[in-house]
Amino acid sequence: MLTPQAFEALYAQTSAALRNYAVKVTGNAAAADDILQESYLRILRQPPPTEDPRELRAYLFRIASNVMTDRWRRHRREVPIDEAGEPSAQDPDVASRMDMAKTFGVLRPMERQLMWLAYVEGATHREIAAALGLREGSVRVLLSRARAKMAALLRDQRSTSSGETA
Amino acid sequence: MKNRDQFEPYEREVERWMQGFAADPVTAPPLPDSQVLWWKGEALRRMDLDRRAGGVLDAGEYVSVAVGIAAALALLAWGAASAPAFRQSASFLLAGVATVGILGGSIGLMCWDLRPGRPSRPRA
Repeated sequence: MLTPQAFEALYAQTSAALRNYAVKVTGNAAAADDILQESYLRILRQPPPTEDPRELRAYLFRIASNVMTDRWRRHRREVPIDEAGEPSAQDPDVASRMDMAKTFGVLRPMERQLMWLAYVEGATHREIAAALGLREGSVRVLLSRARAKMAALLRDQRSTSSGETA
Repeated sequence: MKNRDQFEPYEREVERWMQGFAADPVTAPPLPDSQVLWWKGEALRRMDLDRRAGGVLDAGEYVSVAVGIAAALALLAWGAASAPAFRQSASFLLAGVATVGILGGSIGLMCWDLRPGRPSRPRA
């Protein structure tokens, strides 16, 4: 069982990154906060299998990924950021942020999780497989597909924006 | 990346984009307080423990009722077998009807208590 001090240290080290993961992958800030709370409550209810900080972090992301998947199964689809009452795109910074979120939102939920865990968290194929309940070989294939899809999206986006400026 | 076994030409671009997207600040209310979360977790953990302990007591209750029913049936059967004259009497009929009624009531109450989705009983 985690002591209050150990929990506070874990929370300080992981909460911002975990919320960023949940917000960017679900595209919904309110849902992300629920996922964040649910993940920490699960770790408090069931003693974690390890006390190693890196493994604990991976375990926490695994719980959060499971919570997200459960939500997707229940709701089928999260409301995208621009439909969820986020600020309008008057400011160019906000517009570009929303474009990024929309581009990422084109990927399927699991592809978003895969891409985030691989590129942002720097997780190994084995860690991603454990987090998402997949086989290591499947992670390699799915990640390669998601990467190719993302690259195509970025190419499309670039050609559209260069067409607009011409 | 540590274990990237294939390096596609577009990979660096995707990686750069992902890093930029991750660095983008999130517009959301402040994070919940860690102490509040800890206390919530502690309360839930205690509720889980209480439920688990309650489950053991419930199981014990059902076992004792089942043993009581079996003993009553055995006693009735033994009474009937050991005293043939008693089997012919009106008292035996009365005792039989009363036993079956009490057993039926107990079994009915037990089934009612075991029904799925019943609210859990408050415990001291």
